[in-house]
Amino acid sequence: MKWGIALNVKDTISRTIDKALIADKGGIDQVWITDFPALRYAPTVAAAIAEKTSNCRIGVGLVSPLLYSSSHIVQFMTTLIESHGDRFDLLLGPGDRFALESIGIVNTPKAIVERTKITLREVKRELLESGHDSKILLGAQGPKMIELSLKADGVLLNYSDLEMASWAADQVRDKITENFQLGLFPPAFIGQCEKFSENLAISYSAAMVAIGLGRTVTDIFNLSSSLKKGKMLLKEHGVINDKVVAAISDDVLKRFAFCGTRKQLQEYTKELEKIGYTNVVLGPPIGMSKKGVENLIFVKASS
Amino acid sequence: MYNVSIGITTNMGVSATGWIAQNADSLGARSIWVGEDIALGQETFVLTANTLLQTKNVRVGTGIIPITVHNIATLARVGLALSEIGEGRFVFGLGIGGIQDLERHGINIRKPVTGLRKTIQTLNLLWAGETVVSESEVFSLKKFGLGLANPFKIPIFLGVRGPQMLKLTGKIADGVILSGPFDYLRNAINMVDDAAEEAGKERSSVEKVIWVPTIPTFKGTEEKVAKRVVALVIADTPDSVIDMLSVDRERVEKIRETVAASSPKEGAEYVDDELLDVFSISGSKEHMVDRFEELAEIGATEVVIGPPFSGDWRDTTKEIFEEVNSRRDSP
Repeated sequence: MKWGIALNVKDTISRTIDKALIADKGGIDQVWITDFPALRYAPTVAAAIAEKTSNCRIGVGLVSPLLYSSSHIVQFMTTLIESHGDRFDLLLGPGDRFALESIGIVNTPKAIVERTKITLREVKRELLESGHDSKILLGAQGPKMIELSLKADGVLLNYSDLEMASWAADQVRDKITENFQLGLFPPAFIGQCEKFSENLAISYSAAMVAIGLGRTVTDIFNLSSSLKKGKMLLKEHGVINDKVVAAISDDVLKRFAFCGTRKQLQEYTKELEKIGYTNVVLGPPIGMSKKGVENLIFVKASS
Repeated sequence: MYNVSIGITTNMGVSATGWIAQNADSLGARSIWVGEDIALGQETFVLTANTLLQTKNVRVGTGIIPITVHNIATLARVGLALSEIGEGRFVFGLGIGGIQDLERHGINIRKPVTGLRKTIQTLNLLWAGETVVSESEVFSLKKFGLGLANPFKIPIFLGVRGPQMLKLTGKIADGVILSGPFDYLRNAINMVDDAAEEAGKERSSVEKVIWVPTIPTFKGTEEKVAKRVVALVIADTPDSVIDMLSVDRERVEKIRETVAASSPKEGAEYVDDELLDVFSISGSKEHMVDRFEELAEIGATEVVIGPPFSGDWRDTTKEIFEEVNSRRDSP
């Protein structure tokens, strides 16, 4: 199992570098530098991290093809590789619809899939032709994006609940090649989780993933009525806030994030391995504190 | 006293830009300016980040980023990231972009002055921690903010040419990046100073960075390289600037047509010695530094060396800086 952690959500660059250094020295395989709606432009943060770390691979993304052209993405990947060595990977995916709308990027679902498909093809071809060893992964949740991920080097699925993770893996299991990276990218928190909704960081992250769930998957897991009020409130307020989170029950929220002890995380990742996952990238809020990074190192070392 | 800086562009290789970054501090450069050749070579923001990471004292600026090419949220987020990487050494050079470049990429902006003004105002609001609802010809923000607990400010330099843009720069920018013939530069500097004064600022408070092609010919660089660069500059120079000059207008038009129809290489055939001298600083190091001093006399605060970098350009660059420094050291 390859272990990764997502950094660069709201931290200053120096704090992100500090955490990347801890992750690098602690043996974490991949540090993923999130891009929009993160506050700092990921490729420049990736450059700063590459300067200070030596072992971990550095992932750039999730990078939205709706925000950057294929040539721009190829350009920043190539520049990073040529300046800092062949240790960069890319995570492509449409990104948060509401966040994109707030900066004037509005697209139909069909156009989003098409744009992602074209970008994946173009970026993959260009990087291959340049002889670089970057892996391009697709961030996916719904069946169309999961299907599209078969054309990439891997997929990071935005689920946490084992039933959903198993369903998502089933969509690609029989079609993937040997080196395909089948990864899960859940929001994660290690610590006190009994009162889930009182833990703002994890409940907000879980709500964001839950509400972003497409209609097909929502129907498959009978979540339409549970998420309806939250979706309506998000449309009304334009951002995830207390009201949106409160509109979703704790039981439903818990299905969209990992929250538990170190031991539970260890058991959880063992289950993921049994399902067939080769990678796990733990998303915010775990990377928002040094303690979270240290916890992850501990769990990986004990696994 | 004027400063001397080095200009690099995204179309240069990693080893060349790396050498410049690693040597800029010891050469005595004030800044490194990173020019974006749209969609060519290194990615401009990563190159700027790398340059900041490889230097300790020099200021590093973009020179310039066309606001028409990037989403404004990207520009705001880039500003935040580079400002932190540079710990105060980053300067954001912005502009509309070169005529040729924009046409090649199918970008057309009807009201460039308004577009640039609104972009600068909006970026300043975002860096001040505001949530912004605003639209212009080049962007649309609906309740977007960086959610910053600590507001910050980034010096803004504008790469501009025409009279309206120069006035805008004097009013709202911290510096201007100018390119063009001496006669034009003299007028442009006055316009910026007048506008700054009108806006209630100190007359000379806006920095003037002059970035014209500098082509040393004392160490292996052939004149044809210089002519090719000048052909491109002429093709990109608007009528409002050409009108200020007493140059062979017919020849200028021929160069523009040829560059647009084929390439700067073909256009270079029509560049004569007069145009070469009007649009570039070339020749021996002594002659080049003489011309830097002339620029300082008309109000330049900073002169940028290169590109193009050709021939034995590393030694050439060192020698030009040595010449500048030796004149400063002499009584």
